[in-house]
Amino acid sequence: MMHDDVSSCLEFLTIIAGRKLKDSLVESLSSEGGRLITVMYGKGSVRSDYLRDMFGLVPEENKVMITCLLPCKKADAVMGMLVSKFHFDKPNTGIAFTVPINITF
Amino acid sequence: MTESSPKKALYIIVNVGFADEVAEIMRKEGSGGATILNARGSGPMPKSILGITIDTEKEIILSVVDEEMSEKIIHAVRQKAGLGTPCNSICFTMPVDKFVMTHVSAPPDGPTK
Repeated sequence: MMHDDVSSCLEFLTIIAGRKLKDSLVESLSSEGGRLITVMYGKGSVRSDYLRDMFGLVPEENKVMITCLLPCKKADAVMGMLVSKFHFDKPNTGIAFTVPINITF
Repeated sequence: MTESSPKKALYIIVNVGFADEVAEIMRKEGSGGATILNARGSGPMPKSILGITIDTEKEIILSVVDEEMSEKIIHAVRQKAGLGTPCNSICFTMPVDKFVMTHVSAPPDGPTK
């Protein structure tokens, strides 16, 4: 049974970013209408020892993966917010994508 | 990589310790990068020793790639690290609707649809 206050069109948003952005991302998602926000920790597949040897620079290896449900009509606004506030269009910041959801209850 | 090519979220579940090996296979097929998460498997008949349930440690590799590349990666992973090998990889993809990422050129007016 579809719950009354759940939108019939939902997107499943996944964000992967450096761990230092966790708190601000969760706060922003919550204020933008994200629900069931889940935080998981992961690591990038980059071979940091290789980068350290070659350039002396290592992008943050430890990552956070944040998932949440978004109403379809808010997905564009959230993606825009990730670009404008967190600069996800710049390298070494993060990525975000949405997957359509069929059924919720 | 063109803007119009559909993207897929590629999930690969492997036994613990083999994520780097699979990430290397993905890299050779042209994947830009991946994120590795720790997980544990729960089979239909969990093993129990002295009342303690033994779960299998797993790693999940997640990457967003072109549809065409996802098929190449799945084929390569199945060949080199598929079921029956020590990796015991399981691959699946999900369709990506909207995305923001740096190595894909997004249109200037907002996120790619």
